[in-house]
Amino acid sequence: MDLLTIIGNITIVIGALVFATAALGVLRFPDAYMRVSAVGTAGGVGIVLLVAGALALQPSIPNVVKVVLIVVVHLASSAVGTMAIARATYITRTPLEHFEFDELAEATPETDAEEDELSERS
Amino acid sequence: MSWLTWPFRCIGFFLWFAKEMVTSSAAVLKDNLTPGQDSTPGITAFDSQCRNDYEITLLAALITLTPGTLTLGLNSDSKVSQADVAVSSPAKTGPLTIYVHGLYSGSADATREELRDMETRMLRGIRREGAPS
Repeated sequence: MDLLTIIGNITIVIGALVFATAALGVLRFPDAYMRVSAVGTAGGVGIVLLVAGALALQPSIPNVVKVVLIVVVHLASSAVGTMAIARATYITRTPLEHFEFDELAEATPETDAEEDELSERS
Repeated sequence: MSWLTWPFRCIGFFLWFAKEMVTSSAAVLKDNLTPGQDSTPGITAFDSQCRNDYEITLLAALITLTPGTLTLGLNSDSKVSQADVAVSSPAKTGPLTIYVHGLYSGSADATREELRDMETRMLRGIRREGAPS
């Protein structure tokens, strides 16, 4: 066992633990917005640790290209997907738990255009 | 001259953002693994200094990628099109406002300060002429 193999294995295990913690966060955090943030740790740091660990186990130039592509494409698509889910969460009026301030509610008029939009679509 | 420093500013921002992602992930994981909740969640309205769709999209994505902060939406009333940007100044069209759900900042003003810091660093990294004054 050379050093790179050890580093790779340790990195993969840490990445898997980040994923497990994120799954725990989905159960533990009180509302939908915080759960999205909990999963965000797996989608960001977790996936980078996993593919970087895999790269350390099988280092080669084509694999470096693949890992960079995986990280860039994954981060870009997960950010857009997360925002779509977060927006849908707010539009369907999922309540915030013990929040301190909400400036979006102040900016949203009471006769809600978004709600009309939703009912039109259904 | 700005052409010469641009790649370095870009790389500098990339490294700063990687560090930021690690520290904020650690904060979320720590809150997750320790008993109880020490978060102070809230939604902040943030007037950005971004000039076009490309910049505001990148900023919103980066905010979402940082665990603990989450972009909920963009104020479409002040939305500027690419054509408008070319002919008019940002002052005429008004700022693009994004709404951010933050976990650990404590108050809306504290969140705004953090976002402003991140935005300035981002614009310094991606704009060839550097950050807005």
